[in-house]
Amino acid sequence: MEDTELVERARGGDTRAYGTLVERHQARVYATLRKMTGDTDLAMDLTQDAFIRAWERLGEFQGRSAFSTWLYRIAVRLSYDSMERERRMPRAGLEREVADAAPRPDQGVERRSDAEVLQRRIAELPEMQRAVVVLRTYDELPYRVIAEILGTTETSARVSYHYALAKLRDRYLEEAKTE
Amino acid sequence: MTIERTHPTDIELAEWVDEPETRSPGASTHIGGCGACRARVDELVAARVLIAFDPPLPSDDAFVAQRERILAAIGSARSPEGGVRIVRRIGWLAPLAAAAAIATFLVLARDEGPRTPAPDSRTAGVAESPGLPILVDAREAAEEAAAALVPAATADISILETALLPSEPIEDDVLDAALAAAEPLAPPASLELSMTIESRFADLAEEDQDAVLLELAAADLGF
Repeated sequence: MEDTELVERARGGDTRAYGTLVERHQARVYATLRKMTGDTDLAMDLTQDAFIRAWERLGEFQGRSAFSTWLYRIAVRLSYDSMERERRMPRAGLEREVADAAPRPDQGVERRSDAEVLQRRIAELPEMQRAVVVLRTYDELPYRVIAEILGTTETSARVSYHYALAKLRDRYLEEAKTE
Repeated sequence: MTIERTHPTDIELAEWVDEPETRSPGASTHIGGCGACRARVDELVAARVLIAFDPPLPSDDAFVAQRERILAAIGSARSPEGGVRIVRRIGWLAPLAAAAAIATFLVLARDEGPRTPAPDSRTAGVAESPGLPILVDAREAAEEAAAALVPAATADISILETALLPSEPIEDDVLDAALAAAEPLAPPASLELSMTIESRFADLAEEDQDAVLLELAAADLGF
């Protein structure tokens, strides 16, 4: 069954239909949030919040974009809010979180370490650039969809991405030199 | 891009890496023949690969458990067309409703005349408790809130309270009507005051917080 039909049923109060939507998109939303936050536990919580929030707002979903685009918009907004809170009240343990999101040990020490460095650098980007980097590189979404998710223009998303990628490369190289 | 003789900037190289379909032949020629640019392109490609690196996902069990939690949460809410969604739209009304509830209590307390401290030793000192000034502030906040809301007449604060603290079913059309009347209102200054009250309450010593809560609980407001 297509998402649109499941959404229609869920809108009528069919929680089973909504459960199917959750099952279909849950892992991807989680993985994206993990990339954006660098925190596995937080990503799990935000994923849950995103689906609950989406259910509450299903009446506002007008089907002009795909359900997944609309859902991502909610998830990205939640991650912004969460990271804003975190900025105001920094928590210890970033290293643990970064390690959580890094590759498994059997995937090579060097690559794991490189991915950790990049993950840390992504988390330091301004929110728009962070979201664009993850949605473009990790989710491989076209700029048209990224722009819809982030409520911006395609040009702005494109420029943000190119700028962020160049910045990540620079920072990564800087860090590699100092280690 | 129209770069042939000059080195492209990092941003232009990122664009070249990101969007092969829009590469200009001139830029490709330059990069193909320039070792320095080629090296920078390789670094950008490597960065993309690392960003896209996918750590293992949690077990299926973790997702199943999460799905169950989500369905339990939405199962206890009403249909997505109903009140829960609406409550999210009226964030600024939450402190207002709380302030109005406190006002109700204060008005009732005033109408009943001076309160006699209960014999319980914990409540005996309430009248002198340092927690009490926040009730005075609460009264001001609530009166301001009420002044902003009451002229709108049709916005029934009790309906909004029920929606914000859903303890019993409420008809959607009733809630919609109340919200439709309340939504055009600008957030009153009491919003800020309510937040100040909350903050001050949080700063009180535990026994003072208890005293305030006991005072409120005695009014049976259902907090």
